[in-house]
Amino acid sequence: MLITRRKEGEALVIGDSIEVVVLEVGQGRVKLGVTAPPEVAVERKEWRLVLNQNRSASGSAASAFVQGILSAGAQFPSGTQFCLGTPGTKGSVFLPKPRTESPDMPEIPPLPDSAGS
Amino acid sequence: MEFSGMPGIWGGAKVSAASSDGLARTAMPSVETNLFGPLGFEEDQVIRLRSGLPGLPHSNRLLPVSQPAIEPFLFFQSIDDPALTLLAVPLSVAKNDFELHLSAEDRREIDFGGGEIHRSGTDLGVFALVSVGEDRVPTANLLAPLVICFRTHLAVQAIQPVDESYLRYPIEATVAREEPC
Repeated sequence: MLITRRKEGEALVIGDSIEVVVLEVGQGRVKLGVTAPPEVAVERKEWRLVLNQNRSASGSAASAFVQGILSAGAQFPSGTQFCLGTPGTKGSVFLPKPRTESPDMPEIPPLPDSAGS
Repeated sequence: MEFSGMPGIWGGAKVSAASSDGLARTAMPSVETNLFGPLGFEEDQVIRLRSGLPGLPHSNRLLPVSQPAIEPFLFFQSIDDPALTLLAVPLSVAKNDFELHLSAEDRREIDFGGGEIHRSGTDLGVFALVSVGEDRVPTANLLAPLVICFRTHLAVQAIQPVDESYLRYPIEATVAREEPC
């Protein structure tokens, strides 16, 4: 990683066609101007992260996992609560249990005993 | 101003497992969906995203779909793309202490004026989009929750000033009588 100090009005160049100018230095944030060819995508990193995550999420609802829940008429055990774990750790599978009275129900793996990370 | 994550106060299309084929049909108009088949809805149930969702074309008009089997989770079905269905969870269910940040640009997107945002109430609905990995472990996207203004029925995916770990926030399920969250 290149680490350098720049003042307002100063710039960096990347390759032959990309320039990053420091337009303004404020309290806790910097305003940058980027000049790049049209074929080069310039995006805020978090926007790109969200874009990729949205695409991942769009496949989740239609996944065999969710379709299995819907087709099986499954349900969460009574009293199930949901919470968010700690970032970087692994959550738990929250798959509902199938209703027992349905004789034609596809097989669904059981819900884990606890939230365990 | 206030927000709530509970979809019931506003209501979307409801899919009931009680009908013969597992789906409930409501009055016209209806939309074809890959996941639910034809789905009836009312125009005032539709939420609109002026800018859509990043990376997802045809996400400018979404229909919230509740399904008893997966409550408190719910779906957001694209009206313009039968294959686009998103799984979501209200943040009021998953994380009560979440501090929502709405930039001036976000507020304009949903025609939401100034004022403070509180954690309970009926002005805004806040939902995290859920991803389910191959290991079937779900995560919630808290970096960019879907924020819906109930008054205007406009929505925006509002990027929050939090670190990247909030992009895939693990969801845990417990049965209350055994091990409450």
